[in-house]
Amino acid sequence: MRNILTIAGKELRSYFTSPMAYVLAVFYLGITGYIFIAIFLLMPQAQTDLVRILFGWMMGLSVVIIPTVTMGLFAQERASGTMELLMTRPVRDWEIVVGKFLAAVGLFVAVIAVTLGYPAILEAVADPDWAMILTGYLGLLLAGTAFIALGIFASSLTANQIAAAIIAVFVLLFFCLIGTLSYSVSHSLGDVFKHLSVLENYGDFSGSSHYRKPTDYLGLPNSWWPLLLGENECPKRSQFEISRITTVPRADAKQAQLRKPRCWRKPASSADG
Amino acid sequence: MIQADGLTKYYAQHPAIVDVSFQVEEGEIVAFLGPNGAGKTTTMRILTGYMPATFGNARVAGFNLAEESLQARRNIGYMPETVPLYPDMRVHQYLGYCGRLQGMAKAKLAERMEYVIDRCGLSERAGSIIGTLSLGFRQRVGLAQAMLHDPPVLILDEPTVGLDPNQIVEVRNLIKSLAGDHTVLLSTHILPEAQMTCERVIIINEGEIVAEGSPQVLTAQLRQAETLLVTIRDDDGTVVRQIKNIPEVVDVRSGAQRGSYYIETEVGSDLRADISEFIVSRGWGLLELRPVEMSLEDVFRELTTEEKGVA
Repeated sequence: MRNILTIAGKELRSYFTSPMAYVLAVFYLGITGYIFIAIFLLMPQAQTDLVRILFGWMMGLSVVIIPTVTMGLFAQERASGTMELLMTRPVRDWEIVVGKFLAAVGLFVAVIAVTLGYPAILEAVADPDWAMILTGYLGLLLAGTAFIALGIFASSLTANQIAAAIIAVFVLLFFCLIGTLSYSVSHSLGDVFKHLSVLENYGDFSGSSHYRKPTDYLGLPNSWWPLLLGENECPKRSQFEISRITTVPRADAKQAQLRKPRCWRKPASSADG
Repeated sequence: MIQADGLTKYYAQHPAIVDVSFQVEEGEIVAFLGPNGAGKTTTMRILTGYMPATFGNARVAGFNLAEESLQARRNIGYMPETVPLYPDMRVHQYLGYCGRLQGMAKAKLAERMEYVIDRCGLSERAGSIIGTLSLGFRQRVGLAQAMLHDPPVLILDEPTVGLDPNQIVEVRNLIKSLAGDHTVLLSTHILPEAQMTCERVIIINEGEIVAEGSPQVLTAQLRQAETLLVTIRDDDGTVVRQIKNIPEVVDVRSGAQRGSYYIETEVGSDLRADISEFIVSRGWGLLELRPVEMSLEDVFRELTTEEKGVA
């Protein structure tokens, strides 16, 4: 345990002593912040979906930032020869892997923790559906740890950090996009693809506050990916249970900002569009 | 303390070392000598538990590397060829990290850190970021890291590479001072280094051990002739021919300078008096005459260079 913490502590510190953590945080928070403000202020009629869209983007950005967090974990040690230092210490191999995994999870948690500011702002001006937010974070965390595991694996394949990052991004995109195949192949094969798909499973967390089979959560995650692509570009939108768009009448929108609007509550059955 | 037993390592189809067996006793300093690519680093990586051997086994500090790898690693201080440093860490942070990975207790770690920083001449740079250090200082940090947990066995892969002459002397003295309390196996391809620091030399070439023993014994064993160096003032061009006529002289070669010659005589002969008398009698003006001892370098070259047609 001590070895794991030693390694995790060292890796975490080196994230924060290099520009790495800050660049990633600025990138992640900048984009999610822009989306939050854009939807919150400029498109008040879309506020019902704000949380869902926000989580969709947080997830999508994770596909890009997590490989950059994990790419160096082993590749750099190999390239600089420090692998030899680690491997000749009285430390078990799995302790090294778990230590590095925890460090990457730590950085990821630190970055998404800052995004708690968004629901906090919503709470101040409206009445957000906290169950939805919490399941969203839970899903993001689970998916993130799965991404990190994959990223570390990719990093262990090569001594080149860039190659490790590219491998991880492509494999993650593959797992994200495989769900789209499920609508064009036979039902049983489609189910397999859906289960493999990160995004298919994740939709259960972020999009809807009702739960599906618990086994679905253990796989990689539902339907927020069309958000990433842009809702209007998704031809099969009707098939995604959470891609329903609820519109708030324009006239109510201004009032909605003054009093806590109902639209932040759980999507009620009346909200089905 | 170190016992290698028939170590063989294949990289794909290519054997890096074949049936390497040797022993290093407690408190000994042994040099592992060989040209680049001979298998020194491979052997050391196996002995430190970095990678397993294809065949064969090794024990370090009484622990079998295949079965009790963690215990063995606890007793080894290892400085790899490329010093394993994290350039974004400070020297004391780095040493602290290494110590914690070795499982050292806090108080002991603090005490040992102070000691190795002092011993390796790092006092002024303990707070520096490793990435800003010169090559010589990095090498010292690598050495400090290996000595940090006071391991009974030190395995140093080319510890003086990249140091300037003064630093080399310092590091050699440091290594020498470790003898007795520590068992040291160091690799080098610099022969005087092996001759100066080590009691025993193991010469490895193309993955096989070709000779083993003290530098003196090795040079004596391989000596094929006594060599004298003479320098004369008035070289009339007939020197080679005339000296060759002296009985017991095997060969005469011209040296690097004008008027200097290497005279090889039969093993066990001492012709210094005869030759000096001969030169003086010819009026050539004898400036210098001294025996040349075969160096480890000659032994090494003898053992590690293949004659054409022999292989």
